[in-house]
Amino acid sequence: MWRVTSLILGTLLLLICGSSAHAQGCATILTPHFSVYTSVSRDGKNIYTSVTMQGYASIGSSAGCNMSVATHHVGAENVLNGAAHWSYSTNGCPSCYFSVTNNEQIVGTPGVNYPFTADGVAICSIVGQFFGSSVNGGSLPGCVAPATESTVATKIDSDEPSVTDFTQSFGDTAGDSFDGSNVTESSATGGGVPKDTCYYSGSPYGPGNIVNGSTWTVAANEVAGQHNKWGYDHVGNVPGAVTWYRVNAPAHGHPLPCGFAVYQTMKIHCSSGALVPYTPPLGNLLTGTIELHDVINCRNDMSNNACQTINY
Amino acid sequence: MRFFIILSTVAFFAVQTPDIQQQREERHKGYVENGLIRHLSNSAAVTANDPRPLAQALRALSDEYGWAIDFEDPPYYSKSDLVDDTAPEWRATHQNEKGVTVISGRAFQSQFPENPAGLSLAEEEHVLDTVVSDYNKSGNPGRFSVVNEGDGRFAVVGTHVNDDNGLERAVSSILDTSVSVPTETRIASKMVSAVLNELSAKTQRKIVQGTMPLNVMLQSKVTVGGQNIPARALLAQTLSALEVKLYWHLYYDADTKLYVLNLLPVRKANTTQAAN
Repeated sequence: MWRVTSLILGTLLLLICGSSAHAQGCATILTPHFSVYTSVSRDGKNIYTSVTMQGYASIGSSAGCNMSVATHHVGAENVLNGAAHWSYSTNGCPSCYFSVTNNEQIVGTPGVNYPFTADGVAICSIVGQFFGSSVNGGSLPGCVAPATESTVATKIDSDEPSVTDFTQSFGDTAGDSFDGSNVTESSATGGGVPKDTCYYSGSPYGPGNIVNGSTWTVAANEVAGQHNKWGYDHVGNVPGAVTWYRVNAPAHGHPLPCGFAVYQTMKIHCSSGALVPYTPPLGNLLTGTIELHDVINCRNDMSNNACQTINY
Repeated sequence: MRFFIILSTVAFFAVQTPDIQQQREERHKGYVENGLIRHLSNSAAVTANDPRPLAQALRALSDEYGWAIDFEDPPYYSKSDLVDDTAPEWRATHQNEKGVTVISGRAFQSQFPENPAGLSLAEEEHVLDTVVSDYNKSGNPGRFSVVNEGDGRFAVVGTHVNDDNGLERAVSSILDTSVSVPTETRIASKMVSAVLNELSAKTQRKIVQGTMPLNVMLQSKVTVGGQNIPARALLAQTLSALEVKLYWHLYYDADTKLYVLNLLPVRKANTTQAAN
């Protein structure tokens, strides 16, 4: 076992430190200074992979090889989901600097992971391939969901003056753009129990703030042109309910302040039509509190809490 | 005579004896938050316990089967249909005030045929007829009937209340009133408000918008309207134009004589329980 391991290590060292190339009766020392770079970007639906092979070779002493007539070129291989794609540079002098890039893309399906590997090779017209390097790019998830979401209380709703309009922003270290994607809300099933402490059995107003399955398009409608933002999410008790509960809830044994708390799961639409949740299992906590002279509406998002007090 | 009845009703609710407090506590202990549906071999049973047990049972059916079942309280007014719901802690600091009531509904159960392969519209109507018929025989307040509103919607409408002597009195549904609303493209919540405002003006009753799914009602635009059309039809057209399927529960508060139109989303929820 130790011998096998040593053999593998020795082979790796030879590839990394340089090649002593022998072919067609000549020998030369080619020291490669090449690197393979990979990058992955996503836009919420598509996965984009890029492989760049670049660098040069130092030419050492040679025996019987006429390197003045030799040419080199490099190749970059982009293997996304098992499909291999090569790009090659043009031929150049043996000590020239080379760079070649291969770009690929695939439409991601949620729940599917896409293997990504990369290879770079350097080839001499006399001695053949004298450098090769592979990179394992890992497994890329189809349909990327936003990594984070934060909330801002934007304004008091123009139609329902006791309701707050919240705007949400996506954050993603990979720099994904979700503009044009749709997100949908639903009641979270992660253990949070919705409640409304204003509501009493027999009330003519039903329990407050229903998480009802609305859909928003990112960077559209009320937040048109605002990159990676969606909204508004309307949170609060309707004006009639505020007045009703202030006057009637205490007599029914529900003193002020009182309010509702509901849990909201957010899901992003993938190109396949599937909905992928991006909020934690407990969901976002939405609250609307009725006080004697004002209301307080909050949206506790996965990354921050935002509240607005309205003198209503 | 009418003055005497009102005065005696006020007196009935203003005085709260320890017995009434105890009854209130017992009622509240019996109430459940949601109706429950149990699946049996070829049938199902719905149970509810709420001041409006029929409304609660219908919500459970809607959540279970994805049905849009509208519900409308009749205008209760008598001590036969109402009970004192004044909290003792509030009463302690408001000794000279009238107090508050709720509808006197209690436990209710109904069993109906169920087809595991799903129920057609005709079968849905049959289930609703069965549940409403069971309710009307249950001794709970009010009597109701099922109205086929078309377009896959049904309404369960209050048709009778009891007077102070316990005698049934027929009432008409306020949503049967015809109103005129100009046909325009409006935000959905504005359309509902327009219908309710017209209805209030026409009937001289207070009818307001209640709890609703804010996002869908404030984001969606609808083009609905017409001359001399029952308010019910205008509301049904408005809700049918939305991407999210909604139904209404029109509740009546006897203390303030206020109608409140609540809008609820049709959704599948876990209200079921396997039969033992």
